[in-house]
Amino acid sequence: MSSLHNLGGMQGFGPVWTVPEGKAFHSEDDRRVFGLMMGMMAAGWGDTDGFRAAVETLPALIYARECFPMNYFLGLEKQLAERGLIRPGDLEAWMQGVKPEGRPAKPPRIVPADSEPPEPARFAVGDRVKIATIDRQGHNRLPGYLRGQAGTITAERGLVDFPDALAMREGRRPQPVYTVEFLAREVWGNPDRGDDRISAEIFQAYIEGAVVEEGAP
Amino acid sequence: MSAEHDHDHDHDGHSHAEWHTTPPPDIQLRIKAMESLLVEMGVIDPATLDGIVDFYERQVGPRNGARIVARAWADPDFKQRLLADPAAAVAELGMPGISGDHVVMVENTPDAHNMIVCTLCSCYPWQTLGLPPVWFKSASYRSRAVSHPRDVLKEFGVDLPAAMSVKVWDSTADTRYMILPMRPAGTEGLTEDQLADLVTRDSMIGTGLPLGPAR
Repeated sequence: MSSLHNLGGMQGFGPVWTVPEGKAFHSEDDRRVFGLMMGMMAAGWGDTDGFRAAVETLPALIYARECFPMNYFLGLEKQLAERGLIRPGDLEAWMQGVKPEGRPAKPPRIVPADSEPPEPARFAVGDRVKIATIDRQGHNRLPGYLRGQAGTITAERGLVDFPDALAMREGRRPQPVYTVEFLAREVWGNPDRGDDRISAEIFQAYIEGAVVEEGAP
Repeated sequence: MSAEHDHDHDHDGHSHAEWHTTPPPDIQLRIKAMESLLVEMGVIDPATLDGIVDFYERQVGPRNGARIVARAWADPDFKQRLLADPAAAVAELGMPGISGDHVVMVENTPDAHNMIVCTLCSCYPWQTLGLPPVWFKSASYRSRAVSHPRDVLKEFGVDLPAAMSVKVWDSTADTRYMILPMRPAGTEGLTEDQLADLVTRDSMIGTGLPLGPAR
């Protein structure tokens, strides 16, 4: 399935507002949330895939309404609650001076040490492939606007643990990732797009299969 | 925690249904409370947090990327190495490493302009460009960079000729793209440092072009 974070090809968010160059953080909240997020990952309480999944599965109307860095903070709160460290009500109690007790001293093992054997590569550079549509709920890294589209593999990017499985705590399933190039005129159904192109990294599990051109043997 | 509690718990006095439309109030207070609570629990150390923030504020940033671009403009051999093996070429310049990111350089040419986006979140080449600008993470940029890149470029003041194609790179896995912009005309006599001053952050994202030489 797709959530509101899967933004490619949507409209209604207004023009881009640009900011001057030269600042890493645009507000004190931004700086503080970034520090917390990275600090918790360094301390073993957070992981990238789980964190992305937590942000993406925020209630859709909250996701749409809040922006960075608040969505990140809400995602962090959610992830720490799931791991039993900061539970619902803890921050309210702490703001009244009451420290929660009985919290785990160490983070749970998040990414397993052992990995399943890597999935063999089924495609190669030059192959034309059709992108799948997926109905599974939860985390995935497949842009909505590319589902069902056909593109050409332009690079092989090696093996990467499948994020859908990592985020859902289903173990490490390394699989090939490809850069797939799409023609904008096909993706958007507009012949006036000339030779404009879009490339994305596509996990092998998101590829339905090779496209056999008509007339090919 | 019972299943029933799972569905009925309050978030800061809000019912479950309200939580789906209204975020907890006073988020700024909650951010500070979470930080002080994690410190009190001994989970994080304030000095560690300061170190992390300082690293991303002062040691990485687009000036690193600008040095890479300037070197590539000035040294054709370096440019070849950079396009063939970006990680090794970047290491030559002594940049701090950031694990997990695989930088790929994409070269602008007279025929094709490239730009990067992460439609799903905010993937960005931290090692060479630092943290992404706020608009890179915005719904406005992420939604339209893939569907209407020429309109988005106009909002950045870049009006591409129709004959030049646009290639958009959506970072959806571990690859982190960085644009190698074209060297501006009239910069033949400039030193590498002077060239680096012409390389803007946006020119390495593909939403801008390098500055021209000062007259």
